[in-house]
Formats: sequence, structure tokens, C-alpha cells
Amino acid sequence: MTYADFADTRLTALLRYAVLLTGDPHLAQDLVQETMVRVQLNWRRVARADSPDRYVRRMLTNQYLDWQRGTWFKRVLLRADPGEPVVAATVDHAQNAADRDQIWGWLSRLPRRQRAALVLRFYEDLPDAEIAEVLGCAVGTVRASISRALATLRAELVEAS
Amino acid sequence: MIEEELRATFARHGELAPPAGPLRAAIDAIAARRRRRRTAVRTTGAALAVLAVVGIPVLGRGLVPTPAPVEQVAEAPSPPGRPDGALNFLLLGVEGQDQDNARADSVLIVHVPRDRSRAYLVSVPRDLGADIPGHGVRKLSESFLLGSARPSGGADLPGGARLTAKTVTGLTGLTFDGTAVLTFDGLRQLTDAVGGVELCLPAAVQSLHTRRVFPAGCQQFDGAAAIDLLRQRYGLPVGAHDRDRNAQRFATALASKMTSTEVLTNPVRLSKILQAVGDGLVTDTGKSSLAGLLPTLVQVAGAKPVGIGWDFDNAPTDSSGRLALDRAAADDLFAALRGDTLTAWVGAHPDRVTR
Repeated sequence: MTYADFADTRLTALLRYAVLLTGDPHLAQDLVQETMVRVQLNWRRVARADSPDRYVRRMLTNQYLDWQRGTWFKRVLLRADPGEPVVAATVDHAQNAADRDQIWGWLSRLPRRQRAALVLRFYEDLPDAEIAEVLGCAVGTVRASISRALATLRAELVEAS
Repeated sequence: MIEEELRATFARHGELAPPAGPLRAAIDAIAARRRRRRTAVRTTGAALAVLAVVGIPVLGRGLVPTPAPVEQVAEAPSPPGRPDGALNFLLLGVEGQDQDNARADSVLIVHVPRDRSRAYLVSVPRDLGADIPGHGVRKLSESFLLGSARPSGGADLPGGARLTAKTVTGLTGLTFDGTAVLTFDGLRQLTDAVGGVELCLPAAVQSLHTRRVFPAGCQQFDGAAAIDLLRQRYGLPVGAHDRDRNAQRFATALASKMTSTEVLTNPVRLSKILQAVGDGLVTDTGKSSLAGLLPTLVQVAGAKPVGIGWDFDNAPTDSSGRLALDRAAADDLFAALRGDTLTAWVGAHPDRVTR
């Protein structure tokens, strides 16, 4: 498979995945862009993986999980317009979304790893073992993350109703 | 049932993703730009090479070239504390002196055994995952960037060298008797200052940047040509690793040129060359006596250095592109460096020697 084939077939799916992870289309574009630039520059290595798709998904997920610690987040912050901090944008977005869509709003308050586990389970429909591989953790950790996240959401639901 | 609502929410919002077309174009443009910048950075391989050679005389001479170096060198014949054990130096090739490109793309350990028979050049891969003190596990090349950052802008090259040296010490257990940093510009100027070098290539190399073809066999390289050659990584059979080998060949050729033209033993010529390189070269020899090193280095530079590479064909990388070493094989080499038994190690691993 060439990089072009990969981008042709997978880019849209990756963007959707990133939107669900970040909850924000702009952040999602940045996340996918940064990941795919690295994919293109290191394509030979990516193509060697058993499943390039899973490999790239893992790269993207790691980037997302790391973003506050790593350079990626800093770059996004530096690029943003002054007076429009990313954190505030996320909160506003969550606020707007909550009006339309309660669950979507609650998701933004979950820890990133839990949110990623939910997306992989309920959007990508991956089995626990593959989720663990993408997140780089044990299967037990995946199950714990999902059940904790669901418990949080159920509690919100009870409180809201 | 919360599960079903989640599925519905995700499906709904997944549909809201922005179109992929414009993003695709942006990715291609950024990748092209970064690739150009990266190849420029690779040149530092050349820088490293040069360092291997140039760094050595400089270490003997003192710190950054100053306007009156001649007396300094001439006065040095009876230095205190001439070292007699094995020596290890760290040579770093760095793209530039700006804050965002001060990355150590070439990291080379120069090992001089106790018997002073020759120098060994051991490349450390720039993408290696390493524990950078105070910053956790990152790529080795980032240690220079992190160490050289300063709030006022510009890069603190000695600071970058210190953090990189600490990182490599953590990796290998070696402590360094000196470090030298050579920038891209410094490399070019150095090559031109010695009048170019002769380099022998095992196979033809075509430059992706200037379209110039360097045929197989021996030929003269001036500064610009040397940089052009050392930028080439794509299209070589083993990519970055072949580029590292070219850098080692270049270092060897430069060393030979400097010895045959007596640059190392002629303080006037040496100081002229160092002035030409200017602030493209920064050295630090820590506690060692600089002047005490010079005679040793002159002696070592007379023998052809031995370049040592890695076998990376199947090296695993993690999701951030960090390279992992075969721990047992790496420890074996590092132990030989620490124990000054590299001659025996090379005898047992002839395939790791750059030719």
C-alpha cells in the first residue's frame, strides 16, 4: 500500500475518529494533520506494521492522550489567536453541545483515556484486546476505563432527569 | 441503554466531521516543507563527521576560537595532567543556532583507547528513545533542543551539549572528556578551509536536492558538495544508516587531509581554519587539560579512524517514532567502550565496521 492509497481510503475515517476524541472539529483537524504529516514522513515504517490502519490510529490516539504534556498541544496553543485560548473554546463548545446533546457535553468532562476507550468500543466497535493495543495498556485497564466512564455518564443521567 | 445513546451520539457527531480534501492538501504541503527542513538537518551528519575530525584538534586548542590563538597554542608544551587513560569525546552535529533547529541530528562518540592506536567513531542514532534528565523518555535528538532552549531566543549551544552528554552518559555509562558542537555552516566552512577532501563512495549517489550525481569511486568534495552528499538519505539502500556511514567516511577523509597537510601540528594553519569556522563550532573539555590533549590527538589522528554502525533493519520503533535498541547488543558495545576493549569487540563484529 502507498501513502496515497492509505490517505485516500482512511483519512475521512481518521477525521471522524479525531472529532469524537477531541469533541472539536478544529482540534480534530490539527490532530489528524499532525499525525498524518508524521505518517507521510515515516511511511515506510508505517507500511511495515501488521496493520497500518491500527498503527496510525495508535499514533493519533497517543498524540491526543499526550497533548497537554507534549509539544503538539503547545503548538496548537501558540497558533491560536490571542484572547481565544483553546481551553475556553473547549468549554464553550461543550456548553453549546450540552444544549443540543447532553451526552456529548458530559463526554468532554471525562478523562481522555476513558473517552478514547468509549469511542473505540462504541463507535469503532473494536474488541477489548484491540482497544488495549491502541491505547497501549492492559485489557483489564480498558474494561475498568469503560465501566468507570459508563458509571460517570449514568450518574450524570440520573442527576439530569 | 446508556450504551445505545452513546452509539447514537457518536454516530451523529461522526457525521459532522469536516471534509478531508483540504486537510489532505495541507498535510502534503507541511510534509514537503518538513522533509526539506529535515534533509537540511541531516547534513549535520556531515557536521558530525567533521566534528570527529575537527573537534579533535579544537579540543586540544581550547574553547571557542578567539582572535589570538597562536600564542595560546604555542605556549602549551608543558601542560599539567596529560591524560593517559582511554578518552571519550562526544561530537554533535547541529543544524543551526536558532531555537527551533538546534537539534542534535548527529551524535557521535569518539573513543580513543589507552594505547592511542586509533580513534573509533561510534554513531548513536538520533531517533533513539532515551531518558533525558528532567524530561522523561524522548528522542535523543531532542535533548539538544531542550538543553539549548533559552527564553531570549537563539540557542545556548553549550547548554544543549551538556544535556545531550548527560543523556548519552545515562544511555551508555560513559563519561565524556569533552564535547564539541558543529553547525551546518561550520561544516561547510571547515571543509573549504582545508581545501576540500577526497572521499571514496562504494556506490553512486544522486542528490535529490541539486540533482548532482556523485559517481562511485574516489573524488574531491568542497564544502558545498560535501553538504550535498551528506544530506542524502532517501534512495540509499539503508536510508539514515547509510547516511551515517557516509558521515563517518567523510570524517575519516577530513582527518586524513588534516594530518597530511600538517594542519594539526601547525598552530598557524590550525588557528586560521578555526577562525574560518567561527562560531559554527563550540567545544568544552570539562575538567581535562586542553593543551594536554593536543599531542595525544595529533598522534591518534595519524591512524585511520574506525567507524562503527548499527544493524537497524528490524529495529522496533514505538508509536512516537522512537527507536529501540537491541539492549543486549547495545550493552555489549557500551561495555566494550567503558572497558576499553573495543579492539577485541571490532574483531568479533567485523560486519559493524563502516568501510
